[in-house]
Amino acid sequence: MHTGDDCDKRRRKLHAPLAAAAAANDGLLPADILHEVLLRLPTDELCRLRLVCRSWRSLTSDPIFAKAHSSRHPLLVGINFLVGHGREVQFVDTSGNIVKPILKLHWDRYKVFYWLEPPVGTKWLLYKSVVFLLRQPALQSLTREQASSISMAP
Amino acid sequence: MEVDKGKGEAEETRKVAEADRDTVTLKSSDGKLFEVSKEAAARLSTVLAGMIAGGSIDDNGTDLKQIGSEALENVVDYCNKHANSIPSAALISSSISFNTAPFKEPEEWERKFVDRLSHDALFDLVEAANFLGMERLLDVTCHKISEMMKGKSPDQIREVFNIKNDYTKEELEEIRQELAWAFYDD
Repeated sequence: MHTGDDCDKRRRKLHAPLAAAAAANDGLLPADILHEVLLRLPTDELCRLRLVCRSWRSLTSDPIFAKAHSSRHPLLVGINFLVGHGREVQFVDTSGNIVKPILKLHWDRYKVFYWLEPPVGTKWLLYKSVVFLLRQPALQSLTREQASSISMAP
Repeated sequence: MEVDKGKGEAEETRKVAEADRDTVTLKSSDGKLFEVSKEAAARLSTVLAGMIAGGSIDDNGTDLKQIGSEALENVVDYCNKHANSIPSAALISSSISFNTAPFKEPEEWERKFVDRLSHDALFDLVEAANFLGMERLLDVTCHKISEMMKGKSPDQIREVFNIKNDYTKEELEEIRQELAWAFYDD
């Protein structure tokens, strides 16, 4: 497991602690707590947070973290509409809420996702559309070859 | 928590006396004393439960050298408020490490409880909750911190959490390309 040590070392105190409070917070968020915090964020937020610093990227790219994250977040359903030459994709949670609309993506943009077989009883089949399921956090890479081999529903 | 096995009768007597009390006294790193219901402490903190069961609670104030008075006051306050709120079966969470269910939302009073805290007080409290093995309080404080991260740009995050950007411009651009989908509406 990667830790946030590199990051922590670079962090400075926000405010001088009260002299009396010897164990007062020194402005750092320990790695194990950061792990707990990041587990609570949805995938798109997490991906943006990879830009914060190297250690945050390491933490969110760690397979153990990815596994813990995917087990704490419900399945997302992606609906892929064909729109002209591009595609419109909406990431929808299991309640049908649109989590994130993404327009005209190319397959190589999907490489942060890995794909799962649609579960039995999935009702996301639409006319002239492609239905697939993905699971958060999809923080693992999917190659172009894998992406193009995904079987599409009629 | 280690149980001291070699202290003989005096220890036994002290344990009995301790068992009679329905509160425990906790001492912060800066020497301030706080009383908290034994029942709530044992229920909400695995570490305090272990100390109570093991008889390592000190009548004159159990030393919690890792926790400052402000954070300890918040911990005790949380325990008291929790004891007074209607216990909800849904909130009795299992171990954080092995829990695979989606996170439970904080209750309204818990939200208010953490919302009033300053940045530093919140960070102190999350560490205290972690140290004391208070899963529910850790849940609530981590939830609050994750809320503070939501919708913020990497720059804003660095500012709020006081983090230095250790990427080169080229690396940032590379990651940005990799994650272009997450920046769709930016």
